[in-house]
Amino acid sequence: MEFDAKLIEAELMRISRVADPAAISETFLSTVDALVDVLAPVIGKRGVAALYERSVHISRRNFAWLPMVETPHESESMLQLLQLRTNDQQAAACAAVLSSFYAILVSLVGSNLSSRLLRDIDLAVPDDVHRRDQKS
Amino acid sequence: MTHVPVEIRRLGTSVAGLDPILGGGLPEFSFNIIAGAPGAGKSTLAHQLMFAMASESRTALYFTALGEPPLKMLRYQQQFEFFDGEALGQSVHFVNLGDEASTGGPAAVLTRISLEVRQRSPAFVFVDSFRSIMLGGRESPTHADVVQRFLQDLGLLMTTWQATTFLIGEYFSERDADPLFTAADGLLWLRQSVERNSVVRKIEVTKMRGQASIPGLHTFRISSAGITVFPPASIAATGKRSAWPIRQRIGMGIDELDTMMGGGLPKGYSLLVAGPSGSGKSILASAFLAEGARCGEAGVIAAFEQRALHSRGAAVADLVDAGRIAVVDTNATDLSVDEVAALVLAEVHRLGASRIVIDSLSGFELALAPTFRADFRESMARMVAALTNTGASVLMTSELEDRYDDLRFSPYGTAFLTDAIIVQRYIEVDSRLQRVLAVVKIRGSGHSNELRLFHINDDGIQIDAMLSNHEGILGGRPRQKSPRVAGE
Repeated sequence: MEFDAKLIEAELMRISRVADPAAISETFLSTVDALVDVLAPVIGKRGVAALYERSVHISRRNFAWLPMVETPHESESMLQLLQLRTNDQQAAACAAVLSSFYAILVSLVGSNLSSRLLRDIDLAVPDDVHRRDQKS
Repeated sequence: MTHVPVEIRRLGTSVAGLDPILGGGLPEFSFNIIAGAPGAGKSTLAHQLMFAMASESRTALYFTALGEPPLKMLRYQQQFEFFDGEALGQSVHFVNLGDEASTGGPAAVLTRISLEVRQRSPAFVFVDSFRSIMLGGRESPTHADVVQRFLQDLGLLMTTWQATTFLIGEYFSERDADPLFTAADGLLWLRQSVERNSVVRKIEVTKMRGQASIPGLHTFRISSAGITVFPPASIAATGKRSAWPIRQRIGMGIDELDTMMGGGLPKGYSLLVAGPSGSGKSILASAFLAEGARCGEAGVIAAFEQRALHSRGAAVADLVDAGRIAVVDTNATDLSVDEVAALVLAEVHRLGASRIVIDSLSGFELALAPTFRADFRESMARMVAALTNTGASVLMTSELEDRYDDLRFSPYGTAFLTDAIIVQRYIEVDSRLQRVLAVVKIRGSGHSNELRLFHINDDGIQIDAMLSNHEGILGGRPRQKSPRVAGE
């Protein structure tokens, strides 16, 4: 996955246009789940949770409305708050969290190892969003 | 019927110097403990072993538990050259047991390890930190039984799944974990010996079932390349010692000195050149190396003096630049005799060198960690034996304070270790400081007993005549002999 915030944001916006507004938050949370699945066996669930909490904390500097979360599993509060926002705001905030997450990982274990660990990760567009995307 | 024991394959570890002290490598399918205090180098050794031994057909599983967080471990371990990021997810798999260890205790950990081992059939399994798993649930009255059962089950699982296993744990003494140490096939202790400001890392193979490991504490060093172990010099040396009696002689680079020695230094001998500061020991050593190079022989020098290469002249510097003389890097702090011997031997083998210079024993002693100084004499004996066992000739210099009421050749009592001795001294003649030298000993060979004046010029050491008509030269202030009176 290319963890550039601008690219992620553009892709999330594209998905929202071709599917529906809920697709942004659904894709974001699915992607976080995928990150947990890949990283937790290696660095532990606590390691992933610590990275996620920090990346949300950093993103709140520009998106103060994001909820304070401690683990990726607190998705309900995240989902509710995201869906109160416009598509632009949702896409920008989600892109900020994902790119921060990656940047922190890179700062700790380096870009080579981060790319290696996340080599199979892409924006995890849920199946039904995919179907809506393809129909359009 | 003759009993034929099962053949246990020994796995090369690729950790420099480790296989010899293990007794030839690690027994395949063995159940090993890597123990030591925090900071001793346990995880570094484990990672180095894993990256060296794992391959796509023989994968490794590295379980992390509650010790060092995996994020930090990956961050720091990748600084070592042996860390291969490409191997991750291919031949090397990290698995975190944090949840199982913190909530389920040893039983949950074993279940998860079993699952992963059955899924992946790894050839190598590492559990780091094992002690943190063992501490889970320790308040339970049945904890000791749980631990025993856990160890037995884990050992059985790993052996039957044909995995060579390493449990890594913070232990401070052998008394810490008796059941674990009893169950293990191999036990490696990593220690740090502290004396004054000096810290020396040491490894001990306390146990290695089925093979003869080398007992004792062996020094090791951690560099960017990882761990390098320095086995005793006596087992690190390979080569062929010159056969006795030695008939072949080698030139010292000073013709008159060769004559005094009965035709040069017998090949493969160790020679001690002792003398006070500035008397010309290093120049003599340089002549010895340069003469070797002239005859096509490579040389190795371990220099412990400040500005060591400056005092050796342009000829030796040129030979060093040309790669015909290797200079051993002795700048590391807290050296051990075995480490220096290993460095010298590596260069001897690399160049096929037949001449070795150690300049000087005094500087060498100062470069050693304090913990090794008490055993300097014994260590030197082993090192000299190891170096000459390669078939090379060894010249060592020794700083000797001029004492005119005491004829000594070495402050370390090492004179008996060497096959030959040359001594240099200052004397006062006509209010001038003059130098004399003598060949004191050449084992099994005749040699001159003359005390010869010598001087040093741009061409090196020039040996002059004896100081005739004088006596009491070794007293430092020779006196002219009284003319004999006729009839006396």
